[in-house]
Amino acid sequence: MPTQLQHLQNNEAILLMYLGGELPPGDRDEVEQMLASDPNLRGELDALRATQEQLTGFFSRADAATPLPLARPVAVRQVSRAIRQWQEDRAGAARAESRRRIRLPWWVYPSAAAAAILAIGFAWMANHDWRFSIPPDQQYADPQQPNDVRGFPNVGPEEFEQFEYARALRRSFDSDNSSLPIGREEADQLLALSEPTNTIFPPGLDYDPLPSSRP
Amino acid sequence: MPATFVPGNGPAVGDGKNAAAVATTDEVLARRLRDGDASAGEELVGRYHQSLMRYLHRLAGSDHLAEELHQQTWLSVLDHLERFDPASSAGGFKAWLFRIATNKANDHWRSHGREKAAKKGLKLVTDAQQPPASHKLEGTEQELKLRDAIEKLPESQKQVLLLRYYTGLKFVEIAEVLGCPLNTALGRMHKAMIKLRQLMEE
Repeated sequence: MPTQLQHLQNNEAILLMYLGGELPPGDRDEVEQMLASDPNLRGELDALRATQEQLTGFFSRADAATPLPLARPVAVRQVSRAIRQWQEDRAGAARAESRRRIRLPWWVYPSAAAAAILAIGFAWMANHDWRFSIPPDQQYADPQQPNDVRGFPNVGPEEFEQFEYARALRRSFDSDNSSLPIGREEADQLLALSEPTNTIFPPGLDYDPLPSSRP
Repeated sequence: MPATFVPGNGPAVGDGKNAAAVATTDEVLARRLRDGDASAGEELVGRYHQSLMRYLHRLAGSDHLAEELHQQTWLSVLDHLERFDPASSAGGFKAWLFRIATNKANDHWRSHGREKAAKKGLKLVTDAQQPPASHKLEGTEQELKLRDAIEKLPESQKQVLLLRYYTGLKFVEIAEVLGCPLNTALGRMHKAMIKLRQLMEE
């Protein structure tokens, strides 16, 4: 079944393809049948073949008499220089690209994200009252435990000292005054000093630094 | 076997090796060049030097311009080598190379036309500096006549004719190189042959 002939528009196209040996075998057989039965077509083919041979002769003779504008070694040298330059440019571009796209280990990205979240959290905690997050039974200091400052994150050295005075007083008064290391005046003084600290004791503790039972 | 205008008659392409083998080798060389092997590029340049230079010389009509277009063609080959896909290009590397060369020549003519218009008919510096192609060909009447006859052909016919003669590409491949239908390429070829014969016989 001819395949290409039906797409060729005219005899010239068919004959050129035939002369060039570019028709599939089926098409080629069909053209040969047409040539055998059509003297005019055969004449066209002969004329076309003669023209081809004539032109081939023209080109061959003209080329043989004409040196190439650029000798082969010179052309190769010219293009070789261009190739080397191209290779250098390409290597430079590749280096620049690799610098631009440094690939870090996979764990760097989640680690960086975690560090960022922690940093934001610490920053928030530093600027906000976060005590609400401490369980109620752990929010306040145990007065029986010396140096227990739970619940008082912002207690500075000075306040802490007053706090300790207040604890000392309480312990003294609670132990039936027998070990009271200070006199009444000094106790008043210390209680006065501990006054600001009292405000940080938990509400409802009912802590009275000067209980009525004291002498 | 019918006589053909080109295959086997034009300048040697691939040193007379089997066309398919040459195409395969060209692809291998192109891949090696892409991978950084400069010697593969030199091999390709050497292999196509004669056919490409003759084609460009006939197309351009001047030694200087042919040299310039040859250089530009290979620079463009290097620039686009990454995108060269032998599987999608009928005619392989050779067709691709000559398509680039043809495009470079077309670009030149377009730019030449603009320059000419801008300079209002002043001759281009490149033309003025270089002797005509026929300068070295004193006494070769045949060459002068052929050159003049080719000059008189329309550009589209000239390209088909020269591609056919100097590359040995099939008409289907030439049509793809020129980006036109097969029938158009064949029509141009036929007209070019008839006209060239008439001009040569005058």
